[in-house]
Amino acid sequence: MKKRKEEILELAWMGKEKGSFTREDVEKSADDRISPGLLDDLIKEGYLKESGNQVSMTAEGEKEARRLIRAHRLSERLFTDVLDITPQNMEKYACTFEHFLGDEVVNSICTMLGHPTECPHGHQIPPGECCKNKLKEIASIVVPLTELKIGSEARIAYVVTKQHQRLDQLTAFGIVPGATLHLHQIMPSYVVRVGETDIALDTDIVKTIYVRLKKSGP
Amino acid sequence: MIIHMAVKIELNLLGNHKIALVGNPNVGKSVIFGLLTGQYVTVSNYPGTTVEVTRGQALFDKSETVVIDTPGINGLIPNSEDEKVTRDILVNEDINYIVQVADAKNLSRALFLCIQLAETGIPYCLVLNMNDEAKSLGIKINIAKLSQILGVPVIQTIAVQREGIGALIKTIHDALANETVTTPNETTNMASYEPKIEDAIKELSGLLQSTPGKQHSPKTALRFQALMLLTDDLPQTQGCDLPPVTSHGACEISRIHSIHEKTKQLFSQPLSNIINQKRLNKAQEIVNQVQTYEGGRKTSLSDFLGRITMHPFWGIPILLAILFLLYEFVGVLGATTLVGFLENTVFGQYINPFAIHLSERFIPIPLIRDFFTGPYGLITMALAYGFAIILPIVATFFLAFGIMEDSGYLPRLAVMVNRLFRLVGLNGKAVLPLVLGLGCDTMATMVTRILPTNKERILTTLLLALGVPCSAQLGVMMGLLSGISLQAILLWFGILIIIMFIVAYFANKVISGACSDFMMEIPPMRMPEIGNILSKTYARVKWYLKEVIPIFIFGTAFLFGLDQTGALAYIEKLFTPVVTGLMGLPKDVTAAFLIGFFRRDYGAAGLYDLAQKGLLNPQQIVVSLITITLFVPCFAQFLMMVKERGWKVALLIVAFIFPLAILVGSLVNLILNLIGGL
Repeated sequence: MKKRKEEILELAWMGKEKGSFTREDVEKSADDRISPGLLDDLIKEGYLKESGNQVSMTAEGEKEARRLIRAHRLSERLFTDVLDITPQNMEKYACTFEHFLGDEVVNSICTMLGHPTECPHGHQIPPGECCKNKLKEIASIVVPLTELKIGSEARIAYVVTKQHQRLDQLTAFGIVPGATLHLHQIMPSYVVRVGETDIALDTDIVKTIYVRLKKSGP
Repeated sequence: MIIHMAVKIELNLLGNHKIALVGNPNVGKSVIFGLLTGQYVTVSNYPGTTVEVTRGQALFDKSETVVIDTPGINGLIPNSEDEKVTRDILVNEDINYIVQVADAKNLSRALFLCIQLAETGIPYCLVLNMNDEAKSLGIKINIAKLSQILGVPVIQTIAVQREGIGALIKTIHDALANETVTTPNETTNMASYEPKIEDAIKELSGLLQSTPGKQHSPKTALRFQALMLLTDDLPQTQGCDLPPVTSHGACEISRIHSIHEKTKQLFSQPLSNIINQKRLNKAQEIVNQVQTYEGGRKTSLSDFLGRITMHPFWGIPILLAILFLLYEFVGVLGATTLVGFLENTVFGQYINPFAIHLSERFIPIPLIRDFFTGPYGLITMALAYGFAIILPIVATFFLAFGIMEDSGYLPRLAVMVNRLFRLVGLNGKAVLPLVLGLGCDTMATMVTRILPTNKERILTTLLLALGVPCSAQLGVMMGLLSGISLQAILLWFGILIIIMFIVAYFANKVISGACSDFMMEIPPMRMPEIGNILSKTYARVKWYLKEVIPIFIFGTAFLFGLDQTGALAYIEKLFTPVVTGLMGLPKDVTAAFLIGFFRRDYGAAGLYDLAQKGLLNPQQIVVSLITITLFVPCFAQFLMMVKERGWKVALLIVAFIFPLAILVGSLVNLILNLIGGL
């Protein structure tokens, strides 16, 4: 499929997340190389269907869009968390990457990053096969804090939460990307140490904290 | 005077000055407040215990310098009611000077707040407290350099030992004397943010400056106000929740709104987060320049105790051991030995006979004589009961509670019970009010304020009112139950726990609202300061007696009135079907229940009397005790519920609890009858 068509499918996916997707959305889209004619092609090819002014995805289209969105958002995570690429460039590279990453590569990236659930912008990353099986064949570099061994240290990679308040609170305790954290115990509650402060946390919060494992051995 | 001032510096007339003590939770603000004002506020090793803003006259300044103790905060972007209170004080009141109290061990967190305080433009100094603990961890801070970087005085203290307080007073004194000199330069020590955020700050500052209208926070810098507007995450419909904005016209609000929106669009993360990140980086940068570790981090006894008390396995035997010690101290020493001495010896042998003798000799009218020394007499019942039975139990409990609090055990208890509390919509934080309720439910109801959401406060208030017996009640109840069997105690306790769990479980489903995250700082275990424990116990017992004795007297007078007018007999008859029929109790119990409406321990004491006279069999004791334990604790607690939760919630709780108590009592009686009695 052509790159431009793929982008329309992605727009359709994002439209579905927002609750509405119309022909106008395609026309208004920032990329002027996307012509409305391509939309008709996609409808003809059975990827999209139109009812009233709303355009929606067919099962086939949804499958394709899910794959693309997943690749895009996982790439964003990869660029931000592991490769430290600036947010401005991140988007640009992710747009390029998504079109040629095969499923196998995407699943590998997903596993390596600890099966993240949200992209850096806070959008949902559609789960793939690897997330269901929780494949661990490739050692994850970034894992949720729940998978850290008791007594070990790790650097915080990112915190996934939509609640600004929770984020602000964690920040005030020094639980921020880049900080080193020591996991003291997980039962009866999680207790971590950041700097000289011991903090008890709910499992719900701990699940949103992703850490980058320290390289073991030389 | 509990606190003796080591240093007193007399200041000449400086006029009205306001000093605010600000800092992270549990860093010792209240201790320093006590040292500066000579006024005692409850100090504890539990984050977030200061829920009320306390103001006091500074000891060192005979003219009008007011010191304000504020709830601990982690930042100036408010995340809780407490933080909002503190922020609003800084924004709305003309604060002349801020004393930032910090934990020397946690310099980066302190500086994160420090950077924000600097942005307010209010002159401040930094107090690095708990210097001894930092030293024992091998932390060394270059004070001169830190002071130079921040551009403000930095003082090291060990507040509980009064070390460094003299220097602090001198700093405050100097600062107030040359107010203009110490104002921190707005541009020297602040973090600078992303260019686009800085642009927005400039734009907003310009807007704020050019706006006529009343300036509500004249002392804070425009840059600070602009930052507050940018980071505020509150609904934008009424403008931001910042005083400067409310006085602006609709036009400015919409412009502020549009600048905020425009800037927000430029970033993928919330603005508050981006700004906080920068502050944190800056704080860390300063820490790297001034802090060094000398010697290794030694595992101390405090570390060891801190770990083991919340260990998934060892934590449980330790909890049980602490409960056992608590029982030995309060239940045996307080409720048996001391009560026995006061009741039998002091009142029984000296005060009561003396009072009866006096009244027989000097009061000719029997009615008045009975009012003082009769069976429902003021001296023989109310005072004897209040001082002989309640005082020793309450005093020993508060002493033990103070030790648990100051040692740092309570937050660890919160860690232990968090998952259990989660099942009923609460989290570990609720452990403090619930345990305090074992001392006094009224006080505990007030302390529910430390819980972050309204729902948690209502749930905890409900549980306190329903099933947490205060120490006075526990004392009387245990005395009654221990007379029967261990089985009876377990039955009473088991039913109580089950009812509380069921009620909390369903109340959690019914009451709307959210439960907060469990995110709690665990302070290190510390050796409690005996002086602080004693003054805290003294303050609490005093509070308790002041609240309790008038209600005893009132309750006794009420009962005396009912008895004399024959109303008691009438009410007993009215309730006889329920009390004797459904619950299988003698009709005399009605009087005890009636008094239980005022104070359930008082009711329990009535039951105790009946049992002593052999009027109650074991099953009747258990049934009547379960019923009365489920009653609302006392009239004072009801008034506190009204004050803290409002009439509607308080009345709903009461209307729910009394029928439930009678229902549960009747059911227990029925079931016991079915299985052949106890």
